[in-house]
Amino acid sequence: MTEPANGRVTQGNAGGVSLRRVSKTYGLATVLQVDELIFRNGEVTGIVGENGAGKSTMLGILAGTVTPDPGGEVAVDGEPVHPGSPVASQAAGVAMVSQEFPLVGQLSVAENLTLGLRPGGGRGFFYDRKAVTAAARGMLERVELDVDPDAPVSTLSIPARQLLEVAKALGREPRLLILDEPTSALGPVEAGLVIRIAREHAANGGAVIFVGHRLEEVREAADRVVVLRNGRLVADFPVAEATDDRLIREMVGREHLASVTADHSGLARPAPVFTAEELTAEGLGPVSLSVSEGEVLGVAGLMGSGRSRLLHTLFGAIPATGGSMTLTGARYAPRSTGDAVAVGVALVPEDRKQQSILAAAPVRWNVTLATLQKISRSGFLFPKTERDRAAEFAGRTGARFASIEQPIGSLSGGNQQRVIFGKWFAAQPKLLLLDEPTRGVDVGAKAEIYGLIDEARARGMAVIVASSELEELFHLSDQIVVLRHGRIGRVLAKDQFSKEQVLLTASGVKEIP
Amino acid sequence: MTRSQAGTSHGDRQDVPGTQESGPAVRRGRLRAIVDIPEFGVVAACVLVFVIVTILQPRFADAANLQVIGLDLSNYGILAIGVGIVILTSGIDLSVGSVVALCSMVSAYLNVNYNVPVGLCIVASIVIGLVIGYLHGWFITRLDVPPFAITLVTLTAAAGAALALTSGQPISGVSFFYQTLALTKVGGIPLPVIIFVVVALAAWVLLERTYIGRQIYAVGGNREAARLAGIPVRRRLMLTYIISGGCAGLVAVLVIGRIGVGDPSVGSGWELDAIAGAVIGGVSLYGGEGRIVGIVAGILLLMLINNALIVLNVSPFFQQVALGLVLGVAIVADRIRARARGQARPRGVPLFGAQGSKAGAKDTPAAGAG
Repeated sequence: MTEPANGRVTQGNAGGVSLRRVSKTYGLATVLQVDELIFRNGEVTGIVGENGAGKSTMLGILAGTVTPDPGGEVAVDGEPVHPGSPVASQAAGVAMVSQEFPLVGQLSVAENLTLGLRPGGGRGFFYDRKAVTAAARGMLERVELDVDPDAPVSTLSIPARQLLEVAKALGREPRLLILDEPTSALGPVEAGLVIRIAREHAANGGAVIFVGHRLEEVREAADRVVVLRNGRLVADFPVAEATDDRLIREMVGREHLASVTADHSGLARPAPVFTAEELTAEGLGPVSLSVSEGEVLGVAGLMGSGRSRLLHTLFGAIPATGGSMTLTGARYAPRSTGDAVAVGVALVPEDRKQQSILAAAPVRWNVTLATLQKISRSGFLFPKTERDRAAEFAGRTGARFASIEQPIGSLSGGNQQRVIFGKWFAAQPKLLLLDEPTRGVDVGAKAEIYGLIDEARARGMAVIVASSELEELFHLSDQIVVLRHGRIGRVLAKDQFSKEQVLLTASGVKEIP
Repeated sequence: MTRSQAGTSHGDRQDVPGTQESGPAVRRGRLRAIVDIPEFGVVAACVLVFVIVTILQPRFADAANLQVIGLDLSNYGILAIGVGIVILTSGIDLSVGSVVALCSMVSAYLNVNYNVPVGLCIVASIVIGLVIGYLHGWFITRLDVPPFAITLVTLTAAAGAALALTSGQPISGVSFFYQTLALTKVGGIPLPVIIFVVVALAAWVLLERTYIGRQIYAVGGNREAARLAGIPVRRRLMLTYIISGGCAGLVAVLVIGRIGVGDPSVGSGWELDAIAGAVIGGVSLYGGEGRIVGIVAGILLLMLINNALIVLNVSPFFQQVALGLVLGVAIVADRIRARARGQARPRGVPLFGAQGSKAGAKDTPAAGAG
């Protein structure tokens, strides 16, 4: 699987971590391709880019959690690092603070901080509680985190856990410290602290990568800013030159500034199929919106802005805590996903493997899953009826497979997604909710899924589509709501679609009335 | 036998178009199709054991001995079907053996000490089983108690309650109807075997021919996907535990008839045989996979081996070892099968890897048991 990067001569640039001819391909899609990029010692490098620009892939390659395509090289101070091995990356001095916290909740702060280390190792086999606590105290001081080293991590607040992650990474005395959106869970004071820590680490001769979507923070932390777009390095300039306008321009790409979209305009707005008034749920809202028959409403926003949360609340998968909804004029208050499906609401969730498919089960099962009750007579399923239904609806979406008895897990991502669309078309929903409908499908399949969405529209469904790909939203939507912290920051009509407008609202760089 | 099982499901995956392996696979054609049936291994093992033991000791195939095997099969088999349906949801029911003890004691107690008509006593036994199953389901779906934990509570408590009812004394003098039920033969076939067949058929219809059965598979295969398809996950889980409890209550009735008394120590450890039978029959402990035909074959294999060891005069201690070994092989085969499946995907279908950077990076296994 992995190919050792040995036997390759490395030249110069010993002072830092370098990527050379590193790429990552999933199927036909190249998600990252970098010819040369060096994170120099003594410098904080900021990385910015849209969702899907390749940031996470690059960080994953550095941390060893993603195996790059063979042929490239990752080197720390000139020494090649075995690719795709977290252990090798850690041994080479790479420490990453990720957005998710891989902490062991039941263990104490001190135990988490020293996990995998042996403080006071002189005493051999036995666990040296005193040395562990002392080492932990030292680490906590560096991030100015005032918590009891003996407290279980599960009792800490989210910001405290984030700082604990930083302390844990620093405690490894890394040569490269990677901070992946370290401030997204923090308030301004802690965010400032993390930025100071990054600066100090660089001042002490280490290399630091700082990834963020709040541009002003990146500017404050970094000496130099690198912009990724579509998996490629498109800009690399000193922080002094990195103005908001320039960064966003580079992230978005000059050629896309004038937005071109498919023409769905000119439709008279019929009465809305679905409305939400002051809808709230945990971490969401209040949100008010409405969608009409044959209309597509786009939902934009950064990661964590509540896009999925909104769709799941509309689907009854997350309980609403307030507000009201209507579907085709009637009150709609789903207490379960079953209620939602029964009245004609459908959700294609974001994570196909975890949330959509029964991977080991045949295509047939996956197509009929949401309509089992409908196609059974007095509770009984008739194999022929089921086969016919499955063949009809899977076929209608253009999914390609050898047989409807084939396990869906053996199909490509695009074909799986088509089967899932077939599942919901069979339910004939009035409101179709799509969460990242083209994630993980190749370019050709993407176009066909857009075709399916057009078909849904033509059949009179109201569609709400959430996506991190703005081009996708521009192409599909009649209207876009931009979410920020679970609320609608802005509503954009078709003639207002532009990446700049969305990004500015979503990242809160400028408040737009 | 279980080797070939692991091999077959690997082959399953390679039949997918776009795999490189084509030449030899095509030639195997028809044979392959039969071997591809997941339960092929365990069914073949049953036949093999039967033939070999009959050759070694012809007495094994005598009608009398087959009737004994049939009676064992009906007791353990009904339990295995109940527990197997629970395991399909990636749950577990450890309590069934103790529930058999408790139900049979209460049923006999009512019959003897309160002169309750035997029909009502039989109904009582089954109802108690159903209620215990309902309680399991309630704790599991409402309080998120792990199935292992809550059924372990019942395993201990129900066994204790059965003993406490009469301070450990068996209850004799039960209605003769129990015996009639357990010992009548229809055309040489013991009535309990017929009851077992009816239960197995009913379970087959439930799982293969009703929408509720399919939803049970879905809940076990991917709970989140099931929930997001509008399936009432809690109700389906609840149902499986109720079925399992009811099966135990039914077995309790047959057991009274077979031994002629209400015996508080009966059923001890039976849950392990029942679970073993289901797992040997190809029910995945991770849920979502397994069929009734496999469960029936799995428990039959266990009964055949058990009986064979007796007929062949093998020490009873080795019977336990044999059970353990068969179970061990089946569980390892289950994992090999799952692993072969997991690897067959990226290798066999190159495009399948196109999951996008995010999904690929945090490709953690599903919280299947959650």
